[in-house]
Amino acid sequence: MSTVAPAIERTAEETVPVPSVTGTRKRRRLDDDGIAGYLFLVPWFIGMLFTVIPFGVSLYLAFTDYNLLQVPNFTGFENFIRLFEDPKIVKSAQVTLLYTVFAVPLGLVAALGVAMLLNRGVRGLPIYRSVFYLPSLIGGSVAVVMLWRAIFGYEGIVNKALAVFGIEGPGWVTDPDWSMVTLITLSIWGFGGSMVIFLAGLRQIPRSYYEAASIDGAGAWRQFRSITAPLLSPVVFFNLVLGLIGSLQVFTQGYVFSGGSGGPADSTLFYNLYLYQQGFQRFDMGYASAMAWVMFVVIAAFTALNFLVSKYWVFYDD
Amino acid sequence: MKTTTTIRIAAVSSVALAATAITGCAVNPAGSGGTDADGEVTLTVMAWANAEEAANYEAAFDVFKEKNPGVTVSLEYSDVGSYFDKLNTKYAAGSPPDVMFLVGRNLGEYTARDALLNLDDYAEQIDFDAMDQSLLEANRVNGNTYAVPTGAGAVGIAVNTAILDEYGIALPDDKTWTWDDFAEWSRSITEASGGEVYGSMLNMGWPPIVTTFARQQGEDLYTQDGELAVSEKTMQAWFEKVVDYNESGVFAPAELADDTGAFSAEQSPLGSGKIAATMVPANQLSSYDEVLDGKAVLVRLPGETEGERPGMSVTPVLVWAAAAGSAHPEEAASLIDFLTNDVDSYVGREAFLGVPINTEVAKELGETLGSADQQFVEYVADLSAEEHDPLYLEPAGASVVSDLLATITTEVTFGRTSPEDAAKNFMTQAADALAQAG
Repeated sequence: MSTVAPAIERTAEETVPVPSVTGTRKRRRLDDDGIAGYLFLVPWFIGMLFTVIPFGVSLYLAFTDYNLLQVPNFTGFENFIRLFEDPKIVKSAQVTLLYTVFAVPLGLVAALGVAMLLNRGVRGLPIYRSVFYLPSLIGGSVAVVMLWRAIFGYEGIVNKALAVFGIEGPGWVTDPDWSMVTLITLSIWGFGGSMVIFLAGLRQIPRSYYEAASIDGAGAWRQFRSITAPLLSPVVFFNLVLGLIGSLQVFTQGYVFSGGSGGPADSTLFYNLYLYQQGFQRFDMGYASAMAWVMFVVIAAFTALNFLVSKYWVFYDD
Repeated sequence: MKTTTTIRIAAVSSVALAATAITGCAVNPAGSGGTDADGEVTLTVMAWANAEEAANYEAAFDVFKEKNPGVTVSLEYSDVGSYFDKLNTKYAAGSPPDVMFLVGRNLGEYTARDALLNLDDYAEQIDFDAMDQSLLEANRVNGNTYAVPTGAGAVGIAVNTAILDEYGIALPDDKTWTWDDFAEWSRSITEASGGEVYGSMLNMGWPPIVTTFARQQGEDLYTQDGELAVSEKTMQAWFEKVVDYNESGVFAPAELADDTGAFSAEQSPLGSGKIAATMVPANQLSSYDEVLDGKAVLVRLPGETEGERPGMSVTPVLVWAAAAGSAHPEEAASLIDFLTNDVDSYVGREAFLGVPINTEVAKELGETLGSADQQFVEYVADLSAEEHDPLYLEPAGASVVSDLLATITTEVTFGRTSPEDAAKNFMTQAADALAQAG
């Protein structure tokens, strides 16, 4: 990388720093940026003060038998023991992991692909960016999930379109083998959020690198592998971590899609949905709280693992 | 760094303080009805309804307000899917509604947690003697009355006679037809129309139909003590029917099913003309009749004379119950009495929630009903006149078993599990669920 000629001018946009996930600054006193950072945290901190009490109560309830209607009574680790013996927990974990394993990578690939296309200097870029970004804002909303359900219904638009080609579409919504595909598609449709961040990251990379590389004879794939990928890796890492945390906690899509049942045949029974069922439909808030804390630990573990592994593939150029 | 360290210490200590300060707080399930400064009482009622049905209930409440000055009734309604989530959340928040809809199935669960008012204590406000005693008795828990049926009803099969006429198919005698007769008839419709219209679609995973089948075999779904009464053999026979009917053109493709109950009568497979017959709660006949231009008829489930005994029975459509922590139990009880025993309360609602269990009111109301509702009332009256074994109240854990039944039936429908395995799984998992709910 150090052989690239630094004399070529950077454009105004390329001077905005890429958000670095791990702090790399080492200052010995608070400078303006440090103060700004803490000030940005203040709203979060205030919100945290409100949620800290529910967190505490939830942790307490995880060790009780609480049926929403009567006073909770302490039962110790019973909920956690039951959790590890519950076959539906296994099923819901499988469903959630299946969703995550497909939705996150495919979403990132779509986001990066489209970002790279847009980075070629398309006219009307802001319009395309907004159009692609919009689904990610509304994708998790009740209205859109219901719409998705209608579009993919047995007699919906998708199947009618397939019929034009003589293909008989399956029951995208009611067939347990296909319901998850429909939800994963919904998730991928919302790639816009990650795409916008990728786009910003891509525009960070000085065009001079690519020019120098093509002068040296590098093809498109080599350029991607040696320039784009390493320089974009912090952004990929960021999107991956957030995408993972988000996917593991999916609730609305599962709830609205299946009408709260996790059906058909438990194929959309996300962990969070099962938790909700236990807490609000089965009068077992103690068990639901235990489930919530187990989920917290698991997601924290996944994230920590992510950070550990990131040492090997994320490249920070400082 | 002094500043960050200070912030860190402040953050950690406030978290610790807050966490220790609030652990172990109790929840007080108090009622939510309010009393204004001038003594005006407001009762909250929770129901599930669409906008039209809600307007009907409001009309009844207006009449109640006229008859009971100083009491206002405010209705909170939602769709049926989220009703129980909302109700349970309100209970958890300590502000349950004063009066609410419940399904008989839930009585065991709510009474086991002392969530409902014992209405026997309010015999002054509620005239129990005027009501159908057998229905009341069937809904008692431990000899106490916690809920009053909104009306008597039953399940039935709604048939679109317009389709039958179009393809020249007759309707067999519903009092004696067997399951095979039904399958044959349904299949003939599918064939006669060349697959354009399907004969029928029954929700085979719905507890009422499974209960009816079990009773026809001399069993039941639950025993009076809350154990599983159906045998594995019966469940297997049932699941075999599921497979058979789905594969041989008796039923419409399973993908057409409305599994979340979100469809209105018009959007449903029956209402949109895709099938000729489907199982319905009989009180809903009028909604379908409207959509089908008066061509809907109500018939009984098949197999009533085929097995050991008839499986159908007259059951409450829904029940009215009051919250144990209600701030105005007397007014709540009066409202329940009004909704049951006062013919003026049936304005708009008519027979939608069932045939009134007060026979005088039922007679008076019967004179003003539309033809579909008349059919419904006659249907229920015929069933009541015959001797049917009483239906026991579903035990705590019944809702888990219902979900289980729905899930397993879907798996069988889509060929993911065999009827034999399905029956085995159902028996073990249902027994577990009932044992756990205790």
